[in-house]
Amino acid sequence: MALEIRTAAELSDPELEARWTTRRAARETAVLQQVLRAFVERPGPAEVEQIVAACADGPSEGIRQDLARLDEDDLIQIRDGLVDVAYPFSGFSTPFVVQLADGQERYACCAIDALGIAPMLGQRVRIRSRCHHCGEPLELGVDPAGSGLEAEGGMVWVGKQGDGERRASTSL
Amino acid sequence: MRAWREANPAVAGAGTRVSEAFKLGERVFGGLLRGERP
Repeated sequence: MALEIRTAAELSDPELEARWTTRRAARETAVLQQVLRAFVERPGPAEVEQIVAACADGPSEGIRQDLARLDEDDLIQIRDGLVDVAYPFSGFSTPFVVQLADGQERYACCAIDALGIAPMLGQRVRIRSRCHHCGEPLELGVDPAGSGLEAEGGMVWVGKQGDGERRASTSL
Repeated sequence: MRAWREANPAVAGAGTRVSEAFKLGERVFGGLLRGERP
């Protein structure tokens, strides 16, 4: 099949927009905000019990249930008492390394997630990856507005999630 | 990417420029930890 090159608008549709809106609302909840902040502050997976302790406002069991629901909805991934994925962050190594403004490095789940971190945090980041075909190192700076990216020659592959794949992270 | 596509013709999906991929990332995550909407 020939290579199709699409714009962001062409890659979205009303169904996807509706899904993004629903997931955005979940991401704005206090519990998921706490999880995301944990990934920003420290590398690696976040302990569920640390998240529960940090959410001092609510009952512990309620926070655990919220985290289980977020896992079920594929907004985070919990394994063995650890949150090891909270999109856009991954607690384990991936081909997408994002250097934050303070020099610390985090892993992103995919290229689009890596590109979303600068506007999420409101800070300039550097992204390192490799060409999936030839392995050539790739690096680019991204500011919160995405300034200057039109001049970048790189391309990103946007894979289609398979019907049997519950998690976005398994399709990238 | 064209070379990769030729080697992987059955993979479902499409290519997009970095600037367009940024728009997708911004749409999903923009302003999330700043209390802002993209």
